[in-house]
Amino acid sequence: MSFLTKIRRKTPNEFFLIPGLIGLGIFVFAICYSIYMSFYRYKLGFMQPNYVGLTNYSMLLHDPVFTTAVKNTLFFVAIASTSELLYGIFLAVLLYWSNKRYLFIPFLIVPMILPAVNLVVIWRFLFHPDYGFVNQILTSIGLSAINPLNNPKWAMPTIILMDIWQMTPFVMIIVLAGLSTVPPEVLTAARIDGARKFQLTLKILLPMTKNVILAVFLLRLIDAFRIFAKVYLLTRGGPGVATETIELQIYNRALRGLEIGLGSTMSVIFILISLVVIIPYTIMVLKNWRR
Amino acid sequence: MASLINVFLIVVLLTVLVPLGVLVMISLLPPGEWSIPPKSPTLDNFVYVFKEFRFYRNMLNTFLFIGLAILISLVLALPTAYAIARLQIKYYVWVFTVVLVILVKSLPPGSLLVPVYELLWKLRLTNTVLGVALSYQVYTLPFVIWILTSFLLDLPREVETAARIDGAGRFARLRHIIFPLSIPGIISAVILGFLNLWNEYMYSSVIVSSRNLQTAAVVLGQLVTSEYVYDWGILASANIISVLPAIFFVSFVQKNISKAITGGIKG
Repeated sequence: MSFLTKIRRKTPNEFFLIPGLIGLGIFVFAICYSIYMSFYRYKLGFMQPNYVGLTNYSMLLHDPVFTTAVKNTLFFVAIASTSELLYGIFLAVLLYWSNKRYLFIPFLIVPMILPAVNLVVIWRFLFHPDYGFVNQILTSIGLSAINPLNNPKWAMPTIILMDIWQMTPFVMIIVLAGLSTVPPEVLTAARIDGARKFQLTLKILLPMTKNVILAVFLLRLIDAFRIFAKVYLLTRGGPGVATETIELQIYNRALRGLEIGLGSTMSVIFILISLVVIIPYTIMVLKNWRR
Repeated sequence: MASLINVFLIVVLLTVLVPLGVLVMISLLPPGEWSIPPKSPTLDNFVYVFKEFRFYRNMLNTFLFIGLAILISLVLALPTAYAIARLQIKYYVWVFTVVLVILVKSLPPGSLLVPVYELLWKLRLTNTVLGVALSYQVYTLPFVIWILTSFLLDLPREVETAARIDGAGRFARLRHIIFPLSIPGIISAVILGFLNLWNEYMYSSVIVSSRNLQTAAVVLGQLVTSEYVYDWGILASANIISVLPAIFFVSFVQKNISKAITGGIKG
C-alpha cells in the first residue's frame, strides 16, 4: 500500500466538507467584519476606521429616510409575497383541474425568467404619463390619465404589482408540482363519496400539500428581500422616499458614498430583520435533509 | 366546469402575454414614434444594437463572469455536497455546515455587499473578471451546494454500496461514481445559476466600473434609468436580445424546469 493511499484512508469524512466551508467561511468572516465595522466611522480610501461605539446605530434609528426604507422593505415583503402565494395557489388549482394545462404552463412561466431590466422597460412604457399604453387605453374610454410611478401613494403598489406579475408563476409551478404528488386513489375515494371539485380542493388537495405551500412561502419571503434591481431601475427610491428600501440605502449611501462603517451598520440591521424568515427556513431544510 | 376553468386561464394568459407583446412592439418602433401597435414597424433597432452599440460584447462579458463563477462554485461544492448527502459525519459538524449553507444562501445579497466590496478593493480585484466571479460566489456557492446536495440525497445508495464492496475508497467513489451520476444535477445547477445571475445588477454594477467589462444587465440598466429615454425602440430591442439566451436555456430544460426549481423542497 502506497503512502498516498494510507493518507487517503486515514482522512476523516469531514475533510470533504473543507472546500465548501472555506468558501462559505469567507462570507461568515464578512458578516463578522460587518458587525465589527458597525461600531466604527470609516470612509474607504479617505480616512482610517474610528471607533464611535453605538453612534451609527442610534443615528440610523433616528434617521427618517432609513426608518422609512425599513418600513417600505417590510411592507413590500409582506404584501408582495402574500399576494403571490394566494394568487399562485389559485392558478395552480386552476391548472390542476384544467385538461389543457400543458398548453398554458410554458407561456405562464415566461415572466419568471425575464431580467428585472426587461420588466422595468415594459412597466415604464406601460405607465408612461404621455404615451404609455395604459393611458392610451384610459383616455380612449374617456377616463383621465394616471401617472402612478410619480405618485408617492401609488409608486410602491406599482412595484408590488410588477413583482406579482413576475414571481407568481414560481409559486404556481411549485404548488402544482405538489398537487400532482397527491395519490389519485385518495381523490377517487373521495369522489365516490360524492365530493365536488371545490370541496376536493379545499378539503383534500390543499391540506395534503401544506408542506410544499409553507416551503414556497418561506422561499418567496426570503427572495422578496432582494428587490434591489427592480426598485433601483424603476423608481430609484422615488418619488421622494416613497420606494426607498434598505438595499437601496446600502447601495447609495454606503457604497456610492464609500461609508463602510455606516453601511456595515445597515447590513447588520438588514441581516437581523431577514433572520426572522431565514431561521424557520433553515429548520425546515435541516429536517428534510436529515438522513 | 372544465371549459369555465380554461376560459379563466385564457384571461390570466392574456395578462401575461399583453405586456410581453407590448415589449416586442416597442422594439419595432422607428425613432420618434410611440404608437402601439407601430404604424411603420422596422427591424432597424436590432441592427443598430448589434452593429453600432456592440451589445454582444456586454453579453459575452456576462457569459464569461457567470461561467467562471459557476465553475469555481462547482469545484468547491461537489465534495462538500457529497459529504453532506452521503458520508458519515459528526452530527454537530453536519448541522453546522447545513446551517451555514442555508444562511449564506438566504441572506439578502445586499447585506454582504459592503464587506465583499471592501475585501475585493483591498485585494485590488475590482474591475477584474476574477473579482466579479468571486463576488458572484455570494449567489452561486451556497446555491450550487444546495442543488447538488438535494440531488445526491435522491440518488439511490445501492450504486455506491456496490463500489464500496469492490474496495473503492471515498475519493475513487466521488470521482468515478458520484461525479458522473451527478451530471444531471450539475447541468440544472449551471442552468439555474445562469438564469439567476443573468439578472444580477447590484454586484456587477459595483465591482466593475470600466465600460468594456460591464455586463448586459448593467448597460441596459444605465439606459433605462437615464432621465430621458430618447429611444424606446433601441432599448426594447436590446432587452429582447438580452433575454434570448435565458429563453434558450429554459426551452432546453423545459420538461425538467419544475423539477429543477423544486429541487430541495419535499412535500
